[in-house]
Amino acid sequence: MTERRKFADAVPSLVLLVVAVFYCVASFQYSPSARAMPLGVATLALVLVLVDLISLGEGRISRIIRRIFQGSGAPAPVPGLDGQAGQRFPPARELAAFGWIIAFLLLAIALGFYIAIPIYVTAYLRFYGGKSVLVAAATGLGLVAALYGMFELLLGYEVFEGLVFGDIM
Amino acid sequence: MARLPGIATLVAAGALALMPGASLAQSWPDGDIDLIIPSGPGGGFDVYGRVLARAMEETLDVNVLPQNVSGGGGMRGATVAYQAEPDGQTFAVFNVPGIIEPVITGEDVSYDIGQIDWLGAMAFNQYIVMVAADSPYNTIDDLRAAGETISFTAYGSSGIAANRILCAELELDCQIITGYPSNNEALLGVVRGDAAASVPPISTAAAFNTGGDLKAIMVMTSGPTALFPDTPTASDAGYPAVASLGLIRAFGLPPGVPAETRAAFQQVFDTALAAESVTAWVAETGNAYDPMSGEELSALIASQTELLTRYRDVLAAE
Amino acid sequence: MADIAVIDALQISLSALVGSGGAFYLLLGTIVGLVFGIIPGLGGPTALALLIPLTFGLDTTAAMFLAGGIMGAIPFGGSVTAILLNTPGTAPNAATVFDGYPMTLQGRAGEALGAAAAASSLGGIFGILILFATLPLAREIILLFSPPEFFMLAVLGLCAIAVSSDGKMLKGLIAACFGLMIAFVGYDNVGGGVRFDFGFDYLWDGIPLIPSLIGLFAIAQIVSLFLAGGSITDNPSAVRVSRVGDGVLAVFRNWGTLLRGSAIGALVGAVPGVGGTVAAFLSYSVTVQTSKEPETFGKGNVLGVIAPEASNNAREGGSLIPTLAFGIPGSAEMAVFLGLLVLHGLQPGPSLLLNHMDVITSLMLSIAIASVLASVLCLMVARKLALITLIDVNFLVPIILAVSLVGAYALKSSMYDVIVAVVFGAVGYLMIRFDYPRLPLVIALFLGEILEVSYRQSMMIARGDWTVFFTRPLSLGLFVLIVLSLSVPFIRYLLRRRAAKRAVAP
Repeated sequence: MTERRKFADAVPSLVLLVVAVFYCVASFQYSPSARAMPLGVATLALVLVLVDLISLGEGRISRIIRRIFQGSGAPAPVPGLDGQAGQRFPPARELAAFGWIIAFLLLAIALGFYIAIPIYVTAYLRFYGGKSVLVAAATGLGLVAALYGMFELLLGYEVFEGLVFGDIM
Repeated sequence: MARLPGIATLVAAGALALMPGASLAQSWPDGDIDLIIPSGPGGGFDVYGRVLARAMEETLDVNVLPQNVSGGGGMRGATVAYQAEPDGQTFAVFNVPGIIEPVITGEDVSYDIGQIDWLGAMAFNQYIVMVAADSPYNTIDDLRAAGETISFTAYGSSGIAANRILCAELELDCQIITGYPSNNEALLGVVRGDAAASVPPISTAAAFNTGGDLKAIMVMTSGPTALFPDTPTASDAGYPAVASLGLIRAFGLPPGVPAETRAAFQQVFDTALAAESVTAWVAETGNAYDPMSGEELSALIASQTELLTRYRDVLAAE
Repeated sequence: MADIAVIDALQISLSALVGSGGAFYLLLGTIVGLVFGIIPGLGGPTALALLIPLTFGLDTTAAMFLAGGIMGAIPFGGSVTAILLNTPGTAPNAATVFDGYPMTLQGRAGEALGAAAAASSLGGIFGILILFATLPLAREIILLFSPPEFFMLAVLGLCAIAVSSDGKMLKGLIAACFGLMIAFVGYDNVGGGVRFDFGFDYLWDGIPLIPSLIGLFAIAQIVSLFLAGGSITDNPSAVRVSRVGDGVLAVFRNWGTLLRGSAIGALVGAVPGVGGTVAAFLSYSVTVQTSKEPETFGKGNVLGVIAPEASNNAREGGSLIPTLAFGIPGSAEMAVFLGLLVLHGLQPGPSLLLNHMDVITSLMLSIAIASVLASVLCLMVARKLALITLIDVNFLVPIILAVSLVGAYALKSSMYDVIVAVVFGAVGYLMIRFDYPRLPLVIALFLGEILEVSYRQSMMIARGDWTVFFTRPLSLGLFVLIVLSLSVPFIRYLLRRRAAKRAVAP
């Protein structure tokens, strides 16, 4: 295993370490009784993350930790999707996945769900899913009709209708 | 939440909103009215708010839509309500004295209680001191003579404040156990022995105590109460100040609502406050019902503020 | 609580059910409950909150049938997406994904749905029966639990989950710790201040649970599906062969698991605040620990579906116990339901039993019937539902995203909640990516507040004497269970080592 690879595996733990330290520091602005439990839990988190970091190594202690918590002394399996070891995706595709989600979120905040949903669903199916315009548009409109029917007609509940139209977030 | 259903009307509303000079007073209500409730669905403020909303809908052609804005012991709801557009389309239930306490203890709040345009109140939930049925204490004097720290279970910022002020007035050495999710749970704490006493609202205590697990030792009112007629009052016991403590189910508008709109709103509010559906609901549930005008409410808020200010140090203590 | 009163009340309820349109409201409630349960993010509290205004026009009994229909149908609806999409519809369904989703990946979705349906309906009926049986003891049961017991129960719930994440216990514990840290954000109910709000007034009320759950599961799952492409299962022949009936039969073959799950659900579900969610996980982990082949769990063992689902529906009966005994909600939807009762002019608490027994029996009856009805309705379409797993995920991704974000909005009508859902979607995906189990985080979010509050209350009640956790029999008993559950990996490790040595020795 290369040094770089080792470092890459340790990055999530290092991030958690920083978060936990930050949380501990932030907790000191509260009274002793109000910070006791958060500080205690964050400290425990720190210790556990450190143990996890050590378990990434190759030494005897690392192997013992792995045996206890993981059931075998073998190196930790490469993280992947839902335990499907080794299945990693290029960062560009991961970013694309979130790009679509955030685009929909922004559209919904601006124009409301009833306008954002057909636009997003149609665009997604057409440009990412490669479906025909007809299928894409029908899916988008069908979905919005179902939601409108359930919330507005059946339950009399008004779903967010967009900042542009003066709705409050 | 949107005020108008349908895309077409929405576009119309959007266009209207872009015309700042549009005269709204003649056309109040202009679509559905939002009622901001400073707690989650199901609690006391929520229930009072919804009962009033339902009564208002009886005289209005539009819906009154309850919006739950919970958080910060009522402060978040108050903040949202205070900053709402003063066009008579939004009003709110206010958690009094929940919104006074942070002001007194010097917290940073983004509302000015003096500026809230009070419509009136539905109820003034005064408190009562309850102990377990088999408790050795039968009177307030027993508590004072106990010579040891008396433990209380308490719920909510206002309940805790009332409890602290009671202890200060009585010069009792108290330990207040907080964190209960409701008054009923605080009372359950007394039944199972978490603490010796609790200071719940009178109507809550009456509803909880149908099984006779608890006994009342003092109602924190100036006159006798219907629910606990035989229990001594605070005035009888010589502590009249604590009678101004209580949870007020107060209603108000954000500051700056135009006079004409305001007058129309007040009329609908007053009609709803005395509506038969409200009185029938009160009769069925036994919930507190003390309808109050805006002026009466302001006076009560002033006396509460005075009392709370006097005990600022007690309240700020952690 | 005379028995005669109960029977009279049952007769009133039954005649209302048959005579005055009760059946219609029950069916309507069941369908709404099923739909709200299936849609990630929409759950019991949202369904009941949205229905409050609609019940104004109804008489109280009809409202009870409607509410009971919803409460009975929600738990099963939630298991459908847990099984098919790895996305629990409601929090207590989270335990179902452990084995339900692996079954789906193997093409056995139909069998899993059948097992969940049968376990749910029978669990719902057992829950109500247990409620009837324990009603005379309701007060005593509730009084057994005070803050030290709440604390121990919350810790036990967390440990049971961390240990259940097989082979990832350390990362499970880390996830649980961070879940607790997130749960501590917001108003401090004991001390009265706001913590960790970092200047955002949105955070005064804490980080909302339901939107976080939507993010961690539904949105993270969308990202996974987006990346993986294709369809959920690549085994179409198995999907067509997998029989719903096999799942139903599996429940009848495993009475022990079903009864144990129901009992845990009804009794642990009775503990306010901690109840339902912990019950499902306890039921699951007890089933794993007592199994002769624990290694088959998490890989599609049908018992791993039956145990939490039986508990889930039984808990609806259990969560009525504190409501009836003391007017205290046993679960989040029960809290909203109490508001509905008050609006209908009923004061929750023991007086309900004395004055409005028929309201209670109507509710219990409708919960039990709705549990069965929801399962039957779903079984009729289960094979069609299972075909979802063969659909091109390009259709599923935008639909699930749109629907679950609307769901995130609906509970509190807040777009900030929707933003929280998306943020937690990123957290959830990163957890999948770096192999941290998500369930301990979710459960910690649910239990964080009660864990802290009950700890601090215990210390206040005992005036700082920490032995309070070990001097009360029930609290001590729960502590022993915690130690036992945590030592399971060690014991397994030792057993394996001994077996390995033996194998080497001769």
